[in-house]
Amino acid sequence: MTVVFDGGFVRPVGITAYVHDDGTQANISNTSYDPGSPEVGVFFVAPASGRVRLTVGGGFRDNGASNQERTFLSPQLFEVTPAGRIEVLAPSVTFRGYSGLAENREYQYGCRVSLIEGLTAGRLYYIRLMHLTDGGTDPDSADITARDLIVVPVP
Amino acid sequence: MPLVGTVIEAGDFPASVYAADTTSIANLSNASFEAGTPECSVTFVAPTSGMVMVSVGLSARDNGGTNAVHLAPEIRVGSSAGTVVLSANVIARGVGTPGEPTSFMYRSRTTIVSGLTGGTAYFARTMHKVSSGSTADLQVRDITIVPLPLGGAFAGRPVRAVDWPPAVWAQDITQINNPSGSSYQAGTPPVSVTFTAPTSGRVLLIVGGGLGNSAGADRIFLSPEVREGTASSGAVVLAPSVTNRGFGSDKCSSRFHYGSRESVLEGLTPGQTYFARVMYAVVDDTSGSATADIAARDIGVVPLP
Repeated sequence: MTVVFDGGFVRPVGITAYVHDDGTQANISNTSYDPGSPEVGVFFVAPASGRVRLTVGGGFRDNGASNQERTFLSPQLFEVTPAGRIEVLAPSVTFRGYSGLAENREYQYGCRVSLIEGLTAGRLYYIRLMHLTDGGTDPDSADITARDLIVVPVP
Repeated sequence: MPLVGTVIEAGDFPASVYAADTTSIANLSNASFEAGTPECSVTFVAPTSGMVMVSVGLSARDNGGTNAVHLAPEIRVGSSAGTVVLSANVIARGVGTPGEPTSFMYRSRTTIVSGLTGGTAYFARTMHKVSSGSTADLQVRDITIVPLPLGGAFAGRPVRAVDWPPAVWAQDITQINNPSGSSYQAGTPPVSVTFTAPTSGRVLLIVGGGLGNSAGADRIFLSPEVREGTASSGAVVLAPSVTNRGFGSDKCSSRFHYGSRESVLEGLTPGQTYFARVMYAVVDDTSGSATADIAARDIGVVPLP
């Protein structure tokens, strides 16, 4: 689908959403996805193309003396309806998430970029970051010190 | 910029494309780039600007050694049989693991490619290799192509030049060995761009590169700095901060690893010229010494609608 076409009406452009939190999620113990506190999320209206460019990133480490584990930071996407939120994308590190390494005793910073397609133009969506530690073996010593979320509507 | 002073055309804003493949490729042994089976590829039409953001992502590990997995984009005209316009190069545009992770890790790198021919169809795919050995595994490959400028159009009023100033990108792949110093420095040569703030006053800042090459060494940070005007003498608009906007090295990295980080800078003055550069610092960790190296430094600034 093309948003802009020769002779077509000029459409309003979508606003890029950027949410960043540099609070620390310390000693993460949950092995199921959890949004943490504060929740890093944003509402957006799907553009005519149904496509948005997504960036998920932050800073990650496991500074424990033993049982170091990975952390995953992954996006969860909902369509917002009058009846409530309907999950469109479950959090998945495989496709759109970032991971902290078990081997990193000190913070490492980076991101992952992907494209979300097939959204319904004009509908309201909510996207948030979810995280977990994948082992859960005590002691829980993995930390996340920054979380980034960028949503860019694209043609 | 092609858009200034001209009528908006469909070709100014072609579609973004994305592909991901989760076919597990175990025990990599190819030290030269290959596409693998199946290919992870997309086709796209270059915009009038000739510029696109190219992101490549991977999930990889080495559960039997400390070999690095590299994934880089290749772009050809038309199809997989077409002329190569961008060959795979991990230092310049790829993403890579540091070697140590025994469990799968996930990350990507974004760079900006310019000089494509507007309206021409291109083919892009991921190419991968391993530094050595035959114990590293690749689990996910993905590629995202986003034509520039971003956005569609502004409704209800004439389009102005300042609505779409060009995206800019700079890179240096001169290896810097054993840098030291916990204060941010620009390095030699400096890697900088000048850009014009768009109507929105908002830009996407991208910093990335290649870091590591010494396991357990002090970490290196690459962070963006923005100043007013066209030179490093301008007033500081954004001071470098790795926590908020930088790319940092893996503490465990006997190999070079590659990636990037993005953030949005807001509140710029539309039409104003700014100077942005990559700054690096070596953090004095409690263990380790300044024996890590820099393989590449990238900075990109993309105006946001």
